[in-house]
Amino acid sequence: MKKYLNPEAEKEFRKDVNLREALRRRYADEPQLPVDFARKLQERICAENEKRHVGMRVEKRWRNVAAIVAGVLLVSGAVFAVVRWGGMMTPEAEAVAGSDSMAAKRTKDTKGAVVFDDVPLDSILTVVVGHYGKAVCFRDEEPKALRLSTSWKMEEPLGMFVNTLNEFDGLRLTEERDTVFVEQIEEEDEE
Amino acid sequence: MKEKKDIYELAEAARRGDAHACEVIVRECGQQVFSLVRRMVGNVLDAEEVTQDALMRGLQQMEQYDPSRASLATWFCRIAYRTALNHLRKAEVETLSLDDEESPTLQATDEQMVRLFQQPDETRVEQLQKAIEQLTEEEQMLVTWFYYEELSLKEIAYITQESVNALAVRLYRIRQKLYNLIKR
Repeated sequence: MKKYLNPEAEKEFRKDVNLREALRRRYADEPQLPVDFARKLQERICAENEKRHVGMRVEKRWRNVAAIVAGVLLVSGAVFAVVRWGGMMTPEAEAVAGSDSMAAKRTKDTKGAVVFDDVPLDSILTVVVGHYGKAVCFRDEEPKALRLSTSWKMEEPLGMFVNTLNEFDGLRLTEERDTVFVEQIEEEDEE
Repeated sequence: MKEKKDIYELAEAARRGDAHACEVIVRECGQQVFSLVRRMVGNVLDAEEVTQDALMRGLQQMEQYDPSRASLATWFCRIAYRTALNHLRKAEVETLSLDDEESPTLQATDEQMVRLFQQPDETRVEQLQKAIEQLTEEEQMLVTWFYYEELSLKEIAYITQESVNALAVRLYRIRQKLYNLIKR
């Protein structure tokens, strides 16, 4: 066996024509990689990335919530101090408070419709698709930076918004299970 | 694909989910990795999943890849080999190493080995086909890489992370085992 430890071993084994032929026959009808394998791989990568981003967003959201709670406590403390030691509000302060509540009312009037004005598609979809708890996967890079002006009603199903975006030239969005896929299409494809 | 920088950029794009980058990687390395995995796990559906796992893991660990040591496909094969072994262990499929096997009962002479392996003979080929089926998954992989894929011992050693000498001894023992399986 010692001779098979020297560099000649490889040359000696290479002469095993019967073994090579036996293996060639064994793998003669070996299955090929499915044609859509690259697409499946890409979808899985997108889904994994999205999962990671959602995790980071949730973490960030909790940090924001903590910051807001801390802010509210601070402001409450300050207001309490003013009321306790500063007495009643002045008429000017009451006017400012009144104008704030008007602003809030205006916001309430347009509640449910978010207007995107010249916003990148990537950002639009992060907001909208995230609202429905789904993931976005861009099959092409180009549409990400596409800037669009559109509006979205939160109470409507995601499919309606997808249909709205599909009306833009050169853009195709498809909903597949928990993911919205975005791709760029040629004009001929549309016809 | 030759330039180190290009490969890293390609891997980075694929990690972001870029369709073109994924296509290039699958075109360059996919079939080789898939064949390796399918031969180890047997089932096509499992092989697809394990291949995906291996490619994704390889992309994540790309900073460890050294193009001067192996091609990109061989790098992914190295990851795939480990991933497939883990899959088999999880599935509790018996993957005994050669060391766990009983020693061959017959020690073939060089002349007998040459007759069996190196003198073209239809009957011998058919006998070998059946005998290969009785090897363990790891043994089958080793002969497949060496004789069918025609990888060098150095390349196989890169994938299995063993020494070239250890592999040469393993191949020698597998040949002895095949001889014994046929003689029985």
